[in-house]
Amino acid sequence: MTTAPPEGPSAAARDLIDLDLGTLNREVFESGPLLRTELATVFTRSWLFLGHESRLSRPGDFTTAVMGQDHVIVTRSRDGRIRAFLNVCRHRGMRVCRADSGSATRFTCSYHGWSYDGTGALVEVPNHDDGYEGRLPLDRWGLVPVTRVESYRGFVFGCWDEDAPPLAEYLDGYRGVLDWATDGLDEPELVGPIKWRLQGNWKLAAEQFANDTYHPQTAHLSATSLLGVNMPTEGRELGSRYGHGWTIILPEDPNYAAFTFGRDPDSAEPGHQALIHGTVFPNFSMLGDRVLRVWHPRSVDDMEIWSWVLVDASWSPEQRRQAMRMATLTFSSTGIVETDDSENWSEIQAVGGGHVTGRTALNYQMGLGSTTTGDPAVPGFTGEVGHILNDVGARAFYRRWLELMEGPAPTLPQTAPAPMPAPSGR
Amino acid sequence: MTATPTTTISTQSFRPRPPEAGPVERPRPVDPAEQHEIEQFLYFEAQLLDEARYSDWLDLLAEEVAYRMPSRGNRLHRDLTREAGGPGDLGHYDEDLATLRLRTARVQQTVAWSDNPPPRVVRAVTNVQATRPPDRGEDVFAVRSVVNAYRNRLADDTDHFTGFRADVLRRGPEGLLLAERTVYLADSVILAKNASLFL
Ligand code: FES
Ligand SMILES: [Fe+2]
Repeated sequence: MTTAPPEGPSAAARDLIDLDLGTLNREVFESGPLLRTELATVFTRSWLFLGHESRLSRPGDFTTAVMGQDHVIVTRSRDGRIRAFLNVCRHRGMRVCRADSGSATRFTCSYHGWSYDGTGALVEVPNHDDGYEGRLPLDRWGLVPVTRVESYRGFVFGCWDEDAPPLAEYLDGYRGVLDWATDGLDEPELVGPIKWRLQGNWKLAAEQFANDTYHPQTAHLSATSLLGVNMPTEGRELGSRYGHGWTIILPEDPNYAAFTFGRDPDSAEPGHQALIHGTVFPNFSMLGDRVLRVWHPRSVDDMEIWSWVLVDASWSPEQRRQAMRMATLTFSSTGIVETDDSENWSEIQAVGGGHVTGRTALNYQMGLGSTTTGDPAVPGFTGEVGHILNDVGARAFYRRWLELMEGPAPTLPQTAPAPMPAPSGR
Repeated sequence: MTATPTTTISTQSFRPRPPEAGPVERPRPVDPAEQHEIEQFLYFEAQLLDEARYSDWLDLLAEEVAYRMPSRGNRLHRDLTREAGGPGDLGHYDEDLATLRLRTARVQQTVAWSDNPPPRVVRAVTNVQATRPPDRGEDVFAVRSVVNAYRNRLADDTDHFTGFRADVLRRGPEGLLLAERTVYLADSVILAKNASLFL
């Protein structure tokens, strides 16, 4: 009936989740201290989605992104490399770049004028000669670089953890999803993002996309009935040891064609089953091959949603527009499917503050005990697999979450303050 | 051909006027009677939306209606022409009559949970400036207006939406019809859990 976490507002993550029982105490959506721990562990040790190479095609192209609550600039520098660094001036902490995207060879702070180049190096300090008497070691005051930046199929991710596995390994079986989504595109291009905010913990959205094919028949009935979409019955729910969860529909499902997004349904190869929805742990999600998402944690009960659409730059303007119109109609700030998700997440949050409520377990038991390791229908994947109606993705998500919450924080980039050298001649 | 501006920013925005350019050209408003008719049309339309009388609202739309809400971004002055999304960009709405019918049909179902129980919305329409676009005949009007909407949902779920609208109205057999609307919200991030209301 209920689990009994320790008293007090900052129960340990371990006491809130029982994955053998398949329960989760809703304090995980409510606790401010837990969010600080998430930012220090989950968001520093995971690969976080930063953007797509199509938006960074020429040297100097930049876009801004957020990693947990750390604001970063992502740019292609003159040497052709994609780099990311904190969008925070090393002098007094001003946001250096206040445009969402553009092209720049320098990022100059609008407070006192410190200026950084496309590699993040501090290259100009006003009054360096008279104010600092030329003594400031500029090479020690560059923008803080994101420890690792790697791409897979044009999708750019960043990570603060030197010891994290390489991105391709981290993506695990989800690589197949990104392959499937981009294989048919000559020039993948990510359009957007549009952004909006929701009063709800970020995990409510991330977890649902990782897992939940149970809700559409109820939550989305108004939209699916009009769109003529029947929810699939033949599919798999997958959970990776890195916390990713996703749902695929198998070719034998009578509704398979509706989920192949224009591809020839007969061309389906094993391992290329259509994605319905999925989350790359912790907060990068997808719907089919079209809509991409990041759920940014602004505070424990506030997320900012960034939503993109994946298109092919070589499509005709009309084809491109149709793809975007379909995404806008269904999953967007105004989407007829999305609005019912938002309603659920914000209302879950709205009733979550109660003392008794916070100590009541929620149910993640669907499919418990009936999942397998790997599945012949999903070649190459060795994680946990279950029938499409299953909480295996959510359990994988929270298993990884707990592992990181209880584990160490990574060694962050060397940010020890540099001493000011003594004046020459002393 | 569109009679409405497709960007929010004129070449004059945030720039001193070049010396060779003449003084500002004042608009040529329509007749007071036409202005009155246009305002009353917009107020009535807002009332129908406030009251969620969507079938009635659809009667006010032209067959060829285009309803858009581009997204807006933060751009440096040199990139200002791209601060509102164009046709190839991702926006909040890009609708024709068929998708507007679909969207309203959804909300008319009892299982459209986001609107059942319904939110309460009040729209205020102001700053109505109507002109006749060149070469479009007597029955077409370009109308710029400002909309302010307050939405309260359930208890304390409240949102403000403010923006300007670039409309094209045309006269049909039954009266004025909305043929084009582009809503330019004043937000780059929508500060609400959805913008799925018509403004
Ligand atoms: S805060 Fe950036 S130069 Fe002072
Ligand atoms: Fe949903």
